[in-house]
Amino acid sequence: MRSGRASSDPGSFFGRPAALAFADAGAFLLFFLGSYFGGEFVGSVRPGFVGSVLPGFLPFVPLLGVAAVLVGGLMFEFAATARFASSDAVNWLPVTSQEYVVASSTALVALYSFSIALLAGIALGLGVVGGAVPVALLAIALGVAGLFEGALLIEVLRAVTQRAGTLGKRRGSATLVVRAAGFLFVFLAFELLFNPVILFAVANGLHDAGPVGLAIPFLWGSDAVTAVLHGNAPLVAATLAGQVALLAVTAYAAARCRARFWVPSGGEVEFEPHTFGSSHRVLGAMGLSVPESALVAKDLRGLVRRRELLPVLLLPFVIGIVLLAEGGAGRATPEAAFFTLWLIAWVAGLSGLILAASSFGQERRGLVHLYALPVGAGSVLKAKAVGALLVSLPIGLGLATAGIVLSRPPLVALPGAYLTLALAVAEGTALGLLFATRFSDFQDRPRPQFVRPIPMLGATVLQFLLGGVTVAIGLALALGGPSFLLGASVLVGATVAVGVSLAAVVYLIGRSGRRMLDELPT
Amino acid sequence: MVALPSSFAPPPPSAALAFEGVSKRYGTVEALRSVTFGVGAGEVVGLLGPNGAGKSTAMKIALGIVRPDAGSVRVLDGEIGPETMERKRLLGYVPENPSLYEFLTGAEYLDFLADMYDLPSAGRAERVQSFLVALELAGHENAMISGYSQGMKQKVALIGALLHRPRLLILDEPLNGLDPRSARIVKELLSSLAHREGVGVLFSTHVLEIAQAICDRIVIVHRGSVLATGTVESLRARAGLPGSGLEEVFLTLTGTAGIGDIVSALSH
Repeated sequence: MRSGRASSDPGSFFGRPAALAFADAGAFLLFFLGSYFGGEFVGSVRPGFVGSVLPGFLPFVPLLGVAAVLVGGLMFEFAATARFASSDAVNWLPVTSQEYVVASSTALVALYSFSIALLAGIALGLGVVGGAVPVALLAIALGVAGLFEGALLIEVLRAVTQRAGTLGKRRGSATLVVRAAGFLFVFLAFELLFNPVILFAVANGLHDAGPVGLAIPFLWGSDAVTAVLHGNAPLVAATLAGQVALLAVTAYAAARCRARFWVPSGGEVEFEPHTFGSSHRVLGAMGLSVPESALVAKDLRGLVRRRELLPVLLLPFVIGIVLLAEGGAGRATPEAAFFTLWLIAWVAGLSGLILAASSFGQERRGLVHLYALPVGAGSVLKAKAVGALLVSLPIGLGLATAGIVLSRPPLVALPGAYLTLALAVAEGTALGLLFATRFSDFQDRPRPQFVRPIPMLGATVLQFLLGGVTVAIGLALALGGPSFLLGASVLVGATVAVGVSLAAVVYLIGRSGRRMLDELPT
Repeated sequence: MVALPSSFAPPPPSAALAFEGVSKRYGTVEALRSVTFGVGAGEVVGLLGPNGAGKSTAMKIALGIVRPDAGSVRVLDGEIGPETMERKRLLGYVPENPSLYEFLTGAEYLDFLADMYDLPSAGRAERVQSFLVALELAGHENAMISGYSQGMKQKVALIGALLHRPRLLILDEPLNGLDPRSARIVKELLSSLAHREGVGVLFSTHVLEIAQAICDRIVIVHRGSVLATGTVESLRARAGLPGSGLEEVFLTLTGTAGIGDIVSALSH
């Protein structure tokens, strides 16, 4: 089960479970030492500071346990292809539903344990400095319990949705619209509910408003830590008992759902009768040939129909809405407008980056067969770029409009702001295509990743830097140069640097694209 | 394994496909070693060989999606490569494991292929419909391919290879998963396309009765080399097994006939 979820080459060290334990141990040690020595230093400068931070921080640890698995699980496990779920060897091996749930949830916990390892290091380091080691250990233990709660909830959701997604013979369009809307709702709800910034505010709030938190079962772990800090023994006992009961109930529900909806069957989804013949007039008007238009139309259909691609589509939405929810409202200063629009433009660029970077990997093994068709590398690149732009531009424009409403920049700045956003999307898309041509992952697996994770991390950092500078320049010019920005000579220098970088990116894309068809199948 | 002389019949004059001394290596594995064979226009050639013999590599080279390390490949009297679009329009291909776009319906997928081959819109629906009816897929064309059985997917892949009236068909295990009636229709269709329309067909299969029934010539590859080529009768003679079936000839030529001990050991 673990090997099926490993994101790296199973033969390499990073493809083995030991790599996760190694990473967790490393993170724990690093953050323990950092927080211990940092805490000692701060404590020597401001005595009592660490002790004042702990009541707000320790209740955050159990909350993040649940959040880490839910957010990661929703993004990568929940959206795994049903095809694999139905043909998984575990379906016909002598494995009980309870064994399956224990193994699967443990694998999930191991995958997403890094955040808790990191927080555990901080909690224990600060606990030692602040003289609260027992509470820190309790918070860590409840954090691990939170990981299991989140994993078990994902198991429930997975079993139920796989079944719901394959029941009966349904009319396609309605089914797919409902499914996409459902995914968007669940994603947004969970991402907002378990957003670390919001969680931190909740954890701090619990410090004073315990009874409110008691109404929410997934906060009981944090309530227990808060109760210990307040010395409220009955509440500690009640919340810990509640936590244990919650784990037991979730585990029971996960096993029951697995037993009830064991094997998802591939139900037939039927659509309205198809009209044959090239009908890609809009795409044709954009200068695309018939094969290029067909490729774009195919990819757009895949984006809304393929369960495993929904996170690719929804991730920028989620990040953008979370960013808008976290800040930007009610501050109508040029600085606020600048930062809000800068964040939105960066997210829009990220959208182009993710869509373009995953565009080749989503072809899977079929890419080789695509090469057998009479379509050249240039056409494929063009189609992939247009497909990514057609999706990420509206997402970006929508988010930007929301950002503009919230941050209220001068009207005269709007054309420049929108132009900057379009540039950021184009830049992200170009960068994504560059990485797609070199680092796509074509493997069929339960949790497809489309592009290799380490290069994608590099691409994200590069997009943040490149896009960040480009957008900053664009917005600074659009908003008339807010006073806090650097002088004109720095802007000119930065513009030249970005121009050179973009030219290099375009050159690399062109060279890679032409080589791609020759190299990939061999 | 039976040692055979390495003299092979030259490709027929109007060759749909001609391999001459083609080699391909993947790292330390020699997938093809100086392979020479041809497919004439209007000829059905069976490419036979054990698993890993190099059949699929040969087919991908013929399609221009894998570049050979040595030798020359002529497809319909021209070069083939990643950018030879006009020539690719004349090819039809069914891969061993068709990786169809399962999120499309059968009709959408076939329309997508028609777009890729830039087929005129007029008459497209009728042509698709005739194939769907013949292969008993009519009524399922508006369902998503993800819900299709293996045989239905194979039928869609076959229709996709035939839709644009190719001059050379390259079919890797095309009858996999087909029900007997559909398999019969495809066999008859291939024979008709070759013998009446002059289409060249390169056909790989592990079902030797099928190869014996529809192939004009057989090419046997083993460990990347061509072991023998010719009609079934000439192969029988070469293997010293007159009157035998193609299976005995194949097992003898590839040196894999002695399986009694293996079966006996596995039975215990």
